[in-house]
Amino acid sequence: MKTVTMTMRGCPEAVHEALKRSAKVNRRSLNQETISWLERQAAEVPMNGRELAQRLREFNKGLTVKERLELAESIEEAGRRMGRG
Amino acid sequence: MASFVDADAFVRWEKGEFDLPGWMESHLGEGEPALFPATVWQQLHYGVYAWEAKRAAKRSRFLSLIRASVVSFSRRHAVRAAQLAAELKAEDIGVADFQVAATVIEDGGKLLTFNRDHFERLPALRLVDV
Repeated sequence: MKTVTMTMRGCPEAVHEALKRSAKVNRRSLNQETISWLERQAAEVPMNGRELAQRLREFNKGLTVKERLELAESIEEAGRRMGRG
Repeated sequence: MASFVDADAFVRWEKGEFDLPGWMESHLGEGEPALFPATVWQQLHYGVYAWEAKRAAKRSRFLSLIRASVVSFSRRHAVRAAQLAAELKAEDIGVADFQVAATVIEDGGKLLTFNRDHFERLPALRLVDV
């Protein structure tokens, strides 16, 4: 995996302290822990709405009408169980 | 302004009653994500655990593929949800709906939902016109 070097300035002290605590708990270096935090956050960066729309269409092409209706019913059932119905 | 999607938009789409992808393409700006309150994400995941293995796997694959942006229900969302519930004094709006509304309000967004009956009663909540 290709890597790059990053330098951080102005990190709030509280964040630094939290990172150090977390690194100790996870038995990682501060550098490893920081990368781990950044990797988790990077995985959360979403695709934009237009890409999402395309994905939704592509996925649903593989479903029958019956399967789509079952999906809808499942979401509705979950809603009822959650008190949203 | 961020747009949050409620579960009933998915339901309508799967039933062929609403073009959810079309709405995303026409209403979301370049690079703008569609957001999901954690409570809605919970509702969409139900089938993964409630269905038999084959269908559950398909559902799980779908949800991982779409890589949606899920907004966590945090401390400030919880406080706002409590405030909304106390102000409305309504028993027929469930906890989950207050959680959804609180997430959208706290994050300065608007909600795409077909349950206007419930959500229109919360004046601080902005709804998408559909």
